[in-house]
Amino acid sequence: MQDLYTQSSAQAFGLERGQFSAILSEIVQKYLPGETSSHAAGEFCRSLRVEELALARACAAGSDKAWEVFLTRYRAKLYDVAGYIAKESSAARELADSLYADLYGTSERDGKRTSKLASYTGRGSLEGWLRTVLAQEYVNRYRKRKRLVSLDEEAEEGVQFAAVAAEPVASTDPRLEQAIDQALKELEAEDKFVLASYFLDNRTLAEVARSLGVHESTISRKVDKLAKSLRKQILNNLTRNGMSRRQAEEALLTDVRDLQVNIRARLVQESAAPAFPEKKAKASEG
Amino acid sequence: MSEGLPKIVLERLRMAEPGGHPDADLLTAFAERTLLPRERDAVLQHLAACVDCREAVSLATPEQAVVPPFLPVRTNWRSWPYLRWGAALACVVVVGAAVTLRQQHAANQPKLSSAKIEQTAALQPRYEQRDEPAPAPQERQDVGAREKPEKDIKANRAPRKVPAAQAEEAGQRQLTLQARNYDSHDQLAGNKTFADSVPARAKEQNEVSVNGAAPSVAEKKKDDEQREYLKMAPAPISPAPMAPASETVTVMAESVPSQTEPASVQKAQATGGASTHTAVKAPGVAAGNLNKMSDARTASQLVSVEPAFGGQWTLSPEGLLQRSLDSGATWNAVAVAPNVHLRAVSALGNDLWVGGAGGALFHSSDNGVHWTQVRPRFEGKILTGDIIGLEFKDLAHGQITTTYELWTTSDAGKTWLRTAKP
Repeated sequence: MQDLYTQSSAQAFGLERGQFSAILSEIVQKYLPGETSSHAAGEFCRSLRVEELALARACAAGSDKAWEVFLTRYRAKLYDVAGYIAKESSAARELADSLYADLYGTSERDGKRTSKLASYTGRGSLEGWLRTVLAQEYVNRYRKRKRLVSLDEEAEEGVQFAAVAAEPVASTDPRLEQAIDQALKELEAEDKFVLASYFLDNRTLAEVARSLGVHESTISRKVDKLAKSLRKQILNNLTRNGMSRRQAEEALLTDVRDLQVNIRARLVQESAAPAFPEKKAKASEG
Repeated sequence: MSEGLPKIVLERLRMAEPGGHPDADLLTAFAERTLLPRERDAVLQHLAACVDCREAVSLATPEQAVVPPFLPVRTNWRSWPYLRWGAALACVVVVGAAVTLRQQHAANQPKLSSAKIEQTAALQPRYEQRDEPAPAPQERQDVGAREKPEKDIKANRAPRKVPAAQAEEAGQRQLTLQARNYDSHDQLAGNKTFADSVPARAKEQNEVSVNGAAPSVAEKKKDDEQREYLKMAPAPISPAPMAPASETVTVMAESVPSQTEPASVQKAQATGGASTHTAVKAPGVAAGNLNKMSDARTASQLVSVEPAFGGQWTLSPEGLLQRSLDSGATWNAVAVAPNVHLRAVSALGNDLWVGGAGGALFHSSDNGVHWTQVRPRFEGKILTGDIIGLEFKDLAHGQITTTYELWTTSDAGKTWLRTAKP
């Protein structure tokens, strides 16, 4: 404990050894509930970023020196990150300022100013934590804004804010749903994350790879393999539930939601007669 | 690319219940890959079901933090595959020779009585004569004259008559020579004793004498071939017990900084005329006659000297530096500094740079044995951002990429220039 306290430079920010120990105990309780082994707790504490933890907690406690260090280190970064997330300068500034307010602790609980920095536990870097908090704030705002659209805006922007038309509810064979749920349940958590990111969120392979810290080609291979194995597993489950192979394939592949027939384009293509066919024929002969 | 998934599958995937959201600390640790395995699984399980958290993680992950499958390592490894295969081949040859000779030795190792040894000793001069590789012209004529009658069956059946006293004396001398030679070889090989070795030789000779005939051309040819094989075989393992008394095995020294050279076996005819020298070039062995060496090494030890430098470098998902000495088959963690999450590595020969979260930058000029922390500073500002890229074109010129900045040096990291990322 002593070496962690020394390593954290908590003393320089005005944190007493007892306070620092209490912070570590609280974090251990949070992430290792019921852990009685002091060795495991010690290993866990050593994996924490104690220097950044001490800085954040000292800021939360109102240490001027800690705030000075924090602003020197992270102020510019925070605005850069906000710009990266919001993609627009005014929105980015608003986002960063809002987070600053939370970090400083404008809200009061039991008569005490509560800083968001008090929730930092040192599991990751402080800069990474700030990025995540900014991203969460941005997502929350986006969701709220999506739900709360003023009538004026809707009138001005037209269909942009119109509610997305719900897809027609198709009656599905319960055996198919069961087979799919079972196949999905058997997937690894990481595989489900890859499928959801790629197919539901329409993220690129590079984005998914970045989230998992692997190379893009790894994700590419994984997506292919997963899609194939998932189909196969669903078909197997369907045949196990009493369907023949052909029935299972039809049930899976001829879902009405998958029918993407562009009737208009098809009609145009079929009805459009070639323009000046005689001239074209002559030109080709000449 | 993928053929996609049916919509109903995607719908079921979307309908999964996310449960409670992990806090920002866990999401950060997930993005930085510092979570414990069970925590990572739990977070991934949630992320698979929660679009908001997936969005947050995606936004919170720096755009440039892509981990390549194998980080570019510019080391002098062009010769490594050759060295590796050479070493493997040398090992196979040495082991094969050892096994073959051991089997032959075991097959020729019946327990003979002392009388048989004496009988063998009586016949020894003939072999001693045959051991001489370059007989005088007069002797060649004699040999030719001996070989002609051998074509005749009767003459072939007739035993060669050797004066008993001369034969005994020559046999004793030969045995003494062998004893000395075997004794010294036993010190080297440490697996065969003289008592084991002599009966083997004696039995071989005894078989000839039992037939009561001079060795046929085929037998002589076989014997010569075997002797040639023994000369060709790597010396330190096992030819010692089988080698004739006139053969010596010499280990040539090579003062090699590159210890990765495979042991190569050279056969060289000594200038001395009659005796044959088999030279084994092996790294890390002092010069001298192997017979006289007190600290004997086997050939397998000689070729299995591990390279003291090099390897392939990569970073584990946990941010640890790892090295592979077998082209990526196995990876071993290399300690750099505690509590540092590394994200980038650059290697140029023995010169290594690694960087990670919070501006942690370390340099090693001895291939990862010793590390020095480097704190790049420019106009009073210290590098504190997460290092996500490192590239050194040569020992002096390098560039650090952080999330938002570029730091360059042209004097091996003594001074740095900071620029904003374009």
